[in-house]
Amino acid sequence: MRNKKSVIFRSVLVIALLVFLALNSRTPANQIRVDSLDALSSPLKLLDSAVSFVKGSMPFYSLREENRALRDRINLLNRKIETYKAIQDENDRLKDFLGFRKAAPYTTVPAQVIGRDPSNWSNSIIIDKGLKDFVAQNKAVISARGLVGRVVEVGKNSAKVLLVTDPNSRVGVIIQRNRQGGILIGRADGKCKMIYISLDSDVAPGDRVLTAGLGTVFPKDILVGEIISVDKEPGRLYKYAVIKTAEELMKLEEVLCLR
Amino acid sequence: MPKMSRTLLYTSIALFLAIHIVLINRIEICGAKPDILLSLVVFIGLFFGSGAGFEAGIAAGFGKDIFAFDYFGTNAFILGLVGIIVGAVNTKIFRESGLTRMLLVFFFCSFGMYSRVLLSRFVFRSGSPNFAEYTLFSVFPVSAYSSLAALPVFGYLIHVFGLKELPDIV
Repeated sequence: MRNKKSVIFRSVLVIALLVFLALNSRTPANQIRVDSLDALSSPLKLLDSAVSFVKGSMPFYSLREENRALRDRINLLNRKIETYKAIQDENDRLKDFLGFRKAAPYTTVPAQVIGRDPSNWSNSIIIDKGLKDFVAQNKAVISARGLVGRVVEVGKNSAKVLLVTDPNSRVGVIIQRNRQGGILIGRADGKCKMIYISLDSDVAPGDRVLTAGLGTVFPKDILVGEIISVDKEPGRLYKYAVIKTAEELMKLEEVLCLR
Repeated sequence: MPKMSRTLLYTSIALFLAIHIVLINRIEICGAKPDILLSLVVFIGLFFGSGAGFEAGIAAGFGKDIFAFDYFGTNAFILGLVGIIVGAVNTKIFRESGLTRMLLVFFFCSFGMYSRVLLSRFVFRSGSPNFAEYTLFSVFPVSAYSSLAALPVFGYLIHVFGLKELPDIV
């Protein structure tokens, strides 16, 4: 009898959850999550610091840190070279056009990654900056190497960033060499896919992909990554390219949020 | 059926969730992370029955929902279902075998990931990924990795929950 009651109770709960999900899809119950995440952000930060401390006490840590700092410096310089190249290209193109308005420079807020998405079907990170630090929803997040993603949920002291490798992410991009445009979508294996590349366009592995600057979320000419293969899906009227992101998104520790 | 300690259950959920959020990305291979929370729910359902499996699934799922980018409640729903199903079949399978445990985790990990796609398509009515690509790049690697990781996870949980003395474990 008791067993029967508990089966009924469980079935009712499962159905209630399904109904909750269906309603949730119309009016997302995100506030519960944002508040819970905010409340948990301090212990999470503490936990992250503890992990960093343990990492710091491991052998050869100072050498590894120095190596990392030097690599970061190289990446920063490479990024600067990329920016200069992009500016040079832009300059050449703009000689023909008068009255072109250059994209406004942006200011950033540095943030630390304190957590990651525990599920396997989405790719997001949790950062330790929120509304208090002027981090806002739908603002781009970058790193020294390139584009990271965009802010999707903001609490007072924390925010959730949807990575460009998430299957729900969509970014307007162009190929640096020939200015061919397309849409960048995330793929579950940690890479991205650039779709809507016209069949007659000259695209090859090794080409660099930049943000197109269309819309209001992502500024123009931020490095996204490099094409590793180009292919065509049967029955489609466009090609697609698989892209390796410039930043190793799964090993991110610090990011910059655009304001 | 052995009696389950709720303190141990919730401590394990908190510990596994913390590992998922802070550490698991360090052992990621090709975008796949082992789903150790799912292994925990399968373990609880397998050894403590349907009710305990459901409770573990709901608690672990809501914990996951807080940190995930998804509709709130998705993980609770999927893990709750997994807990119920595993609990319902636990006496019909050879649970002391490592291979059975691996296959169970592989199956339920795939079940959870396909359920997510079905929810996307029919409940949330949002875009769902290309089926073949999703299977090849996401479902298969994650399920395989999770099933491999399930062996040490089950070993640890059997030790923590004091199940070594059970006749079928011995």
